[in-house]
Amino acid sequence: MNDKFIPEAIAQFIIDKIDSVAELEALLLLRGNPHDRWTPQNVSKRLYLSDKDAFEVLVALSTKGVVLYKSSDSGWYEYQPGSPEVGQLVDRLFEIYPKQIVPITNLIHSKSKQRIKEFADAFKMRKDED
Amino acid sequence: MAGVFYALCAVTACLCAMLQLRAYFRARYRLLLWGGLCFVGLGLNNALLVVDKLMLPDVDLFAARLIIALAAHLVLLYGLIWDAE
Amino acid sequence: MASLIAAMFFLRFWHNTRDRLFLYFAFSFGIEGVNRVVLGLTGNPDEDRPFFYFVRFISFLLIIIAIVEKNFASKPGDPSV
Repeated sequence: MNDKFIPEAIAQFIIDKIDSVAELEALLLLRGNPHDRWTPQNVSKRLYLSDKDAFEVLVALSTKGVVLYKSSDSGWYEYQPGSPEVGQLVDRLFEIYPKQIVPITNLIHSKSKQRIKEFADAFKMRKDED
Repeated sequence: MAGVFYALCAVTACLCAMLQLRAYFRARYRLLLWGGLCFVGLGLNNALLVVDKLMLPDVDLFAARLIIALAAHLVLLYGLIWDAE
Repeated sequence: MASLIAAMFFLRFWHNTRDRLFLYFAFSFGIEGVNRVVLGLTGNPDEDRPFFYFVRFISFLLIIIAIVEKNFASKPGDPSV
């Protein structure tokens, strides 16, 4: 597969935490501008998403512990990795994404097929190497 | 005759339910939970059909069975629409 | 009915993943859906009639076939798990 262009740890991070290309781009957008205050409105403009989609993406990222919601004033989001390890992974991802857009987006798209496949795989009665 | 077939359907549905729910507890993929519950409902539906026809001729479980079957399908549909990915 | 909509979802999954299990499920839920519609439309729904239980049985048989195929047809050493 195209995984050989993506470091193992980054690929695992994407598989674990990133559910869509929109989420990835929002994460990298906030990472690239860590001192800005991001709201669904300005994220939606930068990423060409609807306000609703931008809102959901930001909520998802905050649930996954990579982005923090600040509730003062009218509320905004900022980049805040949950741990130094996560911070390093996001930094690395920030570097390589522009050069590896195709393999990374392919990886994300293959994830949704994987989920459906899990439904079918449930019917395997023998335990495979998990 | 009908009873045998419906009993087999019930057993199959229960097998599917077990496989799906076992996978759900391992992987936490919600569609597996809804699928498992759907098969539980279908299994129950068919088992009740056997009971209704063969063991309780005075009681008509038709309404109960219908509601269970509908609920089972709705649970599956809910999962397919909202939790498939 | 709900069965038929579920069948359509399974058809889509089959189209996406090419996993035959979904095709079997699509047919299973499809014919069961048709079965239930016919059952609902007859004035005197009697599930003892061979037509109904036979179709129901076929729909579950398809699921059994899907499960059997899933368990015995997988290629050994398949890395994509």
